[in-house]
Amino acid sequence: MAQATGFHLLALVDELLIGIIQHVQSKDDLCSLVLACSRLQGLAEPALYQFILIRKGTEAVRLSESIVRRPIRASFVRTLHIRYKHLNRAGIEVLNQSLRTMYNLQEFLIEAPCCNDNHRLGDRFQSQGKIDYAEYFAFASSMTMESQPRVQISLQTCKYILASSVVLYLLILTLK
Amino acid sequence: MGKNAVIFLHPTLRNLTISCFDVGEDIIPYISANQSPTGLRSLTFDECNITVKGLAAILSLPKGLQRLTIGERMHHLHGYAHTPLGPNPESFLQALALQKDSLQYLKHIGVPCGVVGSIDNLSMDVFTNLREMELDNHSILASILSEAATRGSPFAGNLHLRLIQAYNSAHSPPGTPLDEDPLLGSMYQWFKLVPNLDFIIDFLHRRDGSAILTGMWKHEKQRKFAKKIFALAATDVTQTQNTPNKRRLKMFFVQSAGYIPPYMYGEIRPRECLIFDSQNRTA
Repeated sequence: MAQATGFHLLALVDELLIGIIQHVQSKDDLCSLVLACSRLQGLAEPALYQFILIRKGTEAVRLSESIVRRPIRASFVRTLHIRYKHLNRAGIEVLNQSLRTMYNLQEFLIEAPCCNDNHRLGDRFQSQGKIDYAEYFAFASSMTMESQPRVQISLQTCKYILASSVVLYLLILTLK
Repeated sequence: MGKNAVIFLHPTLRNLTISCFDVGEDIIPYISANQSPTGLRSLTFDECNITVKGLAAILSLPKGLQRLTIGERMHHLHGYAHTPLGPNPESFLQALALQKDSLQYLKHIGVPCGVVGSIDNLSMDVFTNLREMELDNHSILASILSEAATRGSPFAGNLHLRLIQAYNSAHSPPGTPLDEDPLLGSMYQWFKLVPNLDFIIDFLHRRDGSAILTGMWKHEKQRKFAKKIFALAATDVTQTQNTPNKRRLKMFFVQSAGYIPPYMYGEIRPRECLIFDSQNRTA
């Protein structure tokens, strides 16, 4: 059909393709574009990696592996939300290393698991999280050693939720 | 919080939200060596134990903080010796005053606590740019604001106040005298002091808020009193429509899905439902 109407997506200049890609909402569609050819991969990967939501340790491992395979991907990440469930925490710790490579990160939300999230009523619950946040923020705040020094990671917005207490879940259930 | 306090030193961070931390004096060694001010503009504490000294240490860092939300621990209490800010009103105000020239919005939510220090001579007049406050009716800042306004301080007259009033039906059984009704009495008193008031009724995470609301003022006397307040606000709109000090009363109730803060992924946040707005003269 594309040939019949004389339209080739790849005939468009990069600026137009980027404009089109910016309107693609679906992660699956972005993945398809990335897999189509090397040119589209270069144009669509920044959009694919712009916002990352991690809900499982396995997802964290996949993200880290993809960054190792192509390190420039880390620079595409602008927004990172880490909101994993307690039962899916295995593997989250790999982000300790990957986080340092995301030097264009602007918005960072980290949420240690809470007993509201798949946890049995009455269980004592301690969750300090799997990521060493203090070490990360010390690194992010430090300056680069370049000729014009800048902060390592120019974060703009951060939300830091550590549910390290035993929540009085009974209270909610009673009121419900 | 300890070494995690290094987050307050980040130079480019503009917006920061911290939940479920104990913010005490142990942070001071980690941030006291810092010499350069930070660019933080908006800071939110959600369900945090905060000591006055810890708060002062943090507020000494930003160059010009504009929005500050202090949510003390109200739900996650087990195993914690809570040290509310309220019993030290003077020190609390001194800590806040570290950002007195830049602060535009201030919110404080805390558990009820007996005041140890006196609030007789305290006011918030030095906060020259503060235009909006959101206060739990238990907040010591609400008491300071009310006392100062009663003494004639003009501060409250230029303020948009959002007052959160917790409601438990056990506190207002049928037949309660009007001047003892916690909702109507509070709303009437506050509207006399603050001409731009949002009065927010919080049913404490109950999900049947609208049903409670329907049955709340079923007695004729209470309905008449409520109408009197609404009429007062509505009349004021017509009388002062073109004056800069326009009065406005809005009334909301909190529709909760039953979750408590901090709201984690997928949890439904409570939302405010407007019941009355004197500008629209609808009730």
